[in-house]
Amino acid sequence: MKTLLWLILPLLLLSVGCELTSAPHGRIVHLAIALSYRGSDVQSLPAAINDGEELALAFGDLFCDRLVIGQQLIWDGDGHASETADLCRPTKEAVISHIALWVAALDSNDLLIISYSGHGLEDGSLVLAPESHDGALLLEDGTLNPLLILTVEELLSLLVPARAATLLLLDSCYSGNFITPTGSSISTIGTTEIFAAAWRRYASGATPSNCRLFVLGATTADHTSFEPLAGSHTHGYFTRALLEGLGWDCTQQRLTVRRPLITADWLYAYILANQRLPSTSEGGTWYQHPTIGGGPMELVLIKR
Amino acid sequence: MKRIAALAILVGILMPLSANPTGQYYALSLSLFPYMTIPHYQDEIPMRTAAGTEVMVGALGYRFAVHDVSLEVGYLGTTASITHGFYRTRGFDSVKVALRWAYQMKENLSLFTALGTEINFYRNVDSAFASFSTAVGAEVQLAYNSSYRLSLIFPLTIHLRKEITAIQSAVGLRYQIFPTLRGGR
Repeated sequence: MKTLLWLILPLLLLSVGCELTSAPHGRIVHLAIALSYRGSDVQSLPAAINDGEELALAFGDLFCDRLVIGQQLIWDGDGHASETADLCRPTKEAVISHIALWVAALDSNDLLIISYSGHGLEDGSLVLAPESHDGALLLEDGTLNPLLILTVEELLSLLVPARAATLLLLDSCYSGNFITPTGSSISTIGTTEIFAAAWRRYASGATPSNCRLFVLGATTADHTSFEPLAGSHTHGYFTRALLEGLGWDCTQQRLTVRRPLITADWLYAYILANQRLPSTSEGGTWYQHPTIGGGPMELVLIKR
Repeated sequence: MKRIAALAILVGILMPLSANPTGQYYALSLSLFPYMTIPHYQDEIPMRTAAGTEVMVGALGYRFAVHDVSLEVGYLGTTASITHGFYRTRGFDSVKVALRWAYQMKENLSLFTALGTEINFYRNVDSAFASFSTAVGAEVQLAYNSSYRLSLIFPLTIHLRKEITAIQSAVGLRYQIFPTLRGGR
């Protein structure tokens, strides 16, 4: 019995001791990418601009006691083009260079938050702004210009070398495609044979998940996401619930609730419960089910 | 002191010493444990600490003179780990099936081993994973009569997850009921 206790005790002390070492919080960078597509040849998303701008404000307020760097790549159409607007234009080149810059610059105790509000294609690809100011996203044959598309693989491969924790917030159609089937866990959304699927995953040679990358998407890989069709100050349904989860009041334009603990998992559960849309198809096609990456790790944004 | 004496008398009345029970039995085990995770992926720290509780029910158990075998099902609840930096490991709830074998070394001391498998559901998120577990431990008999047996258990469990190997060093109680056969001649 004594031997057993002597075995257990050092293990316990060693384990707790690991967490007693200090882990200083570093820089927090929020890169807000938002596109309204106003005046272009695809459907406009007026709420997307509010999403990007207010997420930037909310994160600035949320981490007010830390060093926060906010960058906005926002395209509100070409009606009021200016040099400043051009600098912030979320073209594919600009988005890639900004992400690559921060991935290289940030260290292991930093946090990179990338939010995207805009269109998503059926494979999850993001639709970015054109270099030209004619609002043309479509080619003559009616297909989308492939130079404006940032694919799931392109974005995820940009994030692979990141040493910092990375949170990807995607308010776009088919954003569940960014939850790649790696690691040990399976999604139980719409899965009826959970046990069999979990065993198959255990037996498979699936590569380990990227435990520094946390993805929170508005919807599943096979479904669209929505914003209200009318209203004076609108947000995507996903982003509105996300902002509320962070404690943001859209009317007062400030954080009105300071929560003691905010994790990515908690935000997911909050959005699912408060997104003001059904999460299943029982009521028709006007629904969306948020998604979150699997794996053993959880991102802790706030712990007071 | 009075309370301890009262408890001792109560146990004495409920479980007067008699022959060590044998035969078919049902069992209920409760245990608490620290849950120490060793990641297979690159993490900031070598090990993270959580805690958990396990409730196992043995529906198919049989105790021979010194051997004891049972098939058990149960629930495990594991908390999220202590936060370190921006990270912690997720908490989860598990459904477990295990085969347990014990060998009585001395009158009050048994050693046991168990093999199990679990389906685990992360809390708050719609995600699940499968795992295996293996345990060894000691069982100290506290009280018994021909119908009941109460033991203190110290299982050391290795939880084999695809991305993590975890160590549970538990302390718990195990209660076995040996039903009386009725109606025979």
